[in-house]
Amino acid sequence: MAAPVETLSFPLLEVENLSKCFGDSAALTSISFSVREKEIVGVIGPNGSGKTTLLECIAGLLHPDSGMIAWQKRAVLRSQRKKYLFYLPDGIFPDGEQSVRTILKFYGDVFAVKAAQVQEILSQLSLEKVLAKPAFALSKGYRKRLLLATALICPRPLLIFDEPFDGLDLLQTLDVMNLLRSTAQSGRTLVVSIHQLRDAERFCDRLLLLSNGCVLGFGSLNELREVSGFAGASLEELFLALNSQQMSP
Amino acid sequence: MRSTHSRCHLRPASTIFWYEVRKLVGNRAFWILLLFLCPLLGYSFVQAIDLFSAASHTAIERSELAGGMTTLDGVLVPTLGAFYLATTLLFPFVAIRALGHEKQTGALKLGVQLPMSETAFVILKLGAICFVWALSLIPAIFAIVLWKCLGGFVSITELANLLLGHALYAVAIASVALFAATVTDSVSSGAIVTLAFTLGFWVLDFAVGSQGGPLAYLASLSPTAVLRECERGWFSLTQIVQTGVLALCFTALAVAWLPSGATNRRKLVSSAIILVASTIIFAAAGDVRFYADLTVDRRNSFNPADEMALRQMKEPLNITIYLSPDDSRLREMESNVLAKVRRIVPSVYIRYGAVPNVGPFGAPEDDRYGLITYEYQSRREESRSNSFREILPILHKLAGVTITPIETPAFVGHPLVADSTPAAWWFYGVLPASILGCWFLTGRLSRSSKPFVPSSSRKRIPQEPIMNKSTKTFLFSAAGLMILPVANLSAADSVTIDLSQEKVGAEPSTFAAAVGKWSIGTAENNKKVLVVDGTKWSSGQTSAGLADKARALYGERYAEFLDNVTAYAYFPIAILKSIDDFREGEISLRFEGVSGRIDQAAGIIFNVKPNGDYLILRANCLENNLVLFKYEHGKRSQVKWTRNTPTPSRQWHDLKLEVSGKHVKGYLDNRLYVEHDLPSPVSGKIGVWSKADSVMYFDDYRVVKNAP
Repeated sequence: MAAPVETLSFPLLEVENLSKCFGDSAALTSISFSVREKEIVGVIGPNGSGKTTLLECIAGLLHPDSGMIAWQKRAVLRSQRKKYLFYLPDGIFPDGEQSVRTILKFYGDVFAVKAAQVQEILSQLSLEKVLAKPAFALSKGYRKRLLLATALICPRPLLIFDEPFDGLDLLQTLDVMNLLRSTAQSGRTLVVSIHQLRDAERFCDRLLLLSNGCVLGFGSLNELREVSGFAGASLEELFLALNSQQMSP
Repeated sequence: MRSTHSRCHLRPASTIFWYEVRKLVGNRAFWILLLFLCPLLGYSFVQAIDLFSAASHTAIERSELAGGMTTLDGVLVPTLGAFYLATTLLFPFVAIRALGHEKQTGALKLGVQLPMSETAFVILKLGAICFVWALSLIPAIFAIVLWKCLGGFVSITELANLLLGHALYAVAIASVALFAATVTDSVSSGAIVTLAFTLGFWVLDFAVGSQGGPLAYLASLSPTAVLRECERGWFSLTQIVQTGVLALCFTALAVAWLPSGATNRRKLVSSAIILVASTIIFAAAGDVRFYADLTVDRRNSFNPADEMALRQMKEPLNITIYLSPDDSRLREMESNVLAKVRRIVPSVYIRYGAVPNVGPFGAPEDDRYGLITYEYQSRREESRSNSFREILPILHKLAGVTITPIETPAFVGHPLVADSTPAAWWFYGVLPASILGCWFLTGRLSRSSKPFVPSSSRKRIPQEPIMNKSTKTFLFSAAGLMILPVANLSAADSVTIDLSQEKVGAEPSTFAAAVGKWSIGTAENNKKVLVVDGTKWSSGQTSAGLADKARALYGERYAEFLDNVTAYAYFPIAILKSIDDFREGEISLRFEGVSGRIDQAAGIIFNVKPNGDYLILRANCLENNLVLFKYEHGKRSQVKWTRNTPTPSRQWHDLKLEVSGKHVKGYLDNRLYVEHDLPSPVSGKIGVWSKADSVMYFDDYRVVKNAP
């Protein structure tokens, strides 16, 4: 479990009763939760539980059917969200024919970030060896780290990652976890979707458990244990218990 | 504060623009487009040169045909026609990648989060596509430069208007590609949608345009139709605005359909608003009546007197035409008369009367077929002619006015006999090889530069610019290549002596007649020309007899003998007033030998020094030779002499001198006969020259001064 975060003053981002349907299929049903400054909120759920849909609704890439998203207690329009947050989708390919150096330079320039900061980020993600390589020639792990670097270069206060550890091996996952943790400690807030429950358990401050587009629970691991009445249970055990409670009539 | 704020916004815009350019240039589709263009455009250019040269041979022999020899029709339009083909069929594959590739890979989700509005994001992409299209003009620019190097004439206004037409067409395609990318899921689907549009324009232009009806009207509004107008040398602000509106409409639709979180309902409403607004602006642009005929031969205009009279026809003019839409007479009348009448007459209504169907082998039986009626202020006239020579008097008669045509200078054409071999070598060999080399170097350099930074290093990230060295080199070279000919053309100081305002019988105002009798006269077609009249040369009283004796002594080379007889050293000279110092460039004129028993000499005098020394390039209708003479310390001597240069009397000939530092070239009827290196660079006044009893006509005196 991660160390407790000291500054948790007021909700930075609030999501209230967010719903989204694709045709007759409900992808999200009345999702509500909040994110405090400098914390890491994990969105947890199996495949198809609505994690990506939720994140894209928050980022403004999808239009929810109902609900509200507020930034520091104020409803924030879709067009204004790029002032406050940056969303890194999963499964995308960066500009294939461009070198890693060019891509990072582009994001550094476009967000007016100093070269030293860009250098810091690429060092932390061990991208130096592949700077001259075109993005299409990168391995899955390097490609993921390149995408993480582009998100970390963006200086917005809230970063949203969809499956940031997907494609990384164990050591790389630990390195990236440490980097994201230090990013949160330095004053930024993270919302991260994870389907590996063990990773989520040791990385996130609070957890939003999703199943079939509905919230199973929201809170820290201890809060979830209290609510479910399973003291000492692991996240995996908690998730299965809460999921079976929801499924039972 | 404001400027700092502006810079903050400009920086990401500039970064994104160059990054987009880099992505497009770095893609193989762009290089394949360039490679295809080389043989495609090269073939058109070589064919154009060959056909133009073949026609010029006849035009040079029969000067009345020379007026039909224009660079626009003969070279520029056919050459850039190949470029149109590439823009139609290949450019969509380049343009679609600007947005389609990002959408396909999901990277567009990052793109829409960049710190700028979605509208600015799409417009920057449109700008990048247009920039890359401009780079693909390189082969076309080379063709124009080659044409200039071969001695061809290029009108800046005609060329600029033609390129404007192609640019508008490309912008329209780029905007369609952006829209197609937003409504499809893959690059290939987007390219197919874009191709459907471009081929649709094409089909409208070729297949439907001549059929009449609503589709023909639609065809007249397509970007292809705008390009066709520009190819005719016609600048129409209406059509340019309308094409701009079309491009803006598709760009706005691309913004509306960008996957940025808007609901489908909102996208549909936005699209409806965009379409309605575009239609209103498009229709309103139809009332913008600003046109210009930018051709050197003024083919799109009537005589100014006719145009003035037609503009005064304030009442509705009704024209009813009983011709089938696919009748060639109607098409001819449309371009030669109706198009002009529509633009000039304030209120004109053209109707097409019902005509019977015409079978492939049968003529229509209706007697009215071919009839054209004109109605104005309850007066009515009929005619079967489709020629403006008959139609204009009918219109003036209906308006009750009598017209006296204003005298305008006759267009003499720009025939040129040139060899297309260098162009073939360039477009089939050198240029494709150079492009392949650039492609190879660009890919190699971008991957090999600065490959490794040690992980322990705490140095700053190497400051690689958004464009790597190779891309930058390519872009700057390309930009330089594009600017070069334009700069060359614009830097050239061109002077054409216009004699139309001169008074017949008087001395020319543009030339100082230093020696001999120089005056303004009229040639066969009543065109004003500069005349040197050597018949009043008193020293030549005995000359005719001596000439006969010389002919008996020396046969065909009698004139060379006479040239060395001092008594005949009488050289009429007229110095051009407007140029004090000619050093580099070309001087050309046309001349006709009218009479003269000793000489019928026409020359370009140059390097005229204050002490009276000068150089001349002269032709002689009696000697059939072209000679470079120098005149130093009162004595004339030959520098370079070429015999057997056919120069018959009573025919117009082209004489041209090219000077590049010490190097001079002499052309007669566009054929190089004299080439020589002088001991020192040329510098001095210029003018026209003749000899002894020559009576010569001079016209089209033209000077192009290059910066040395």
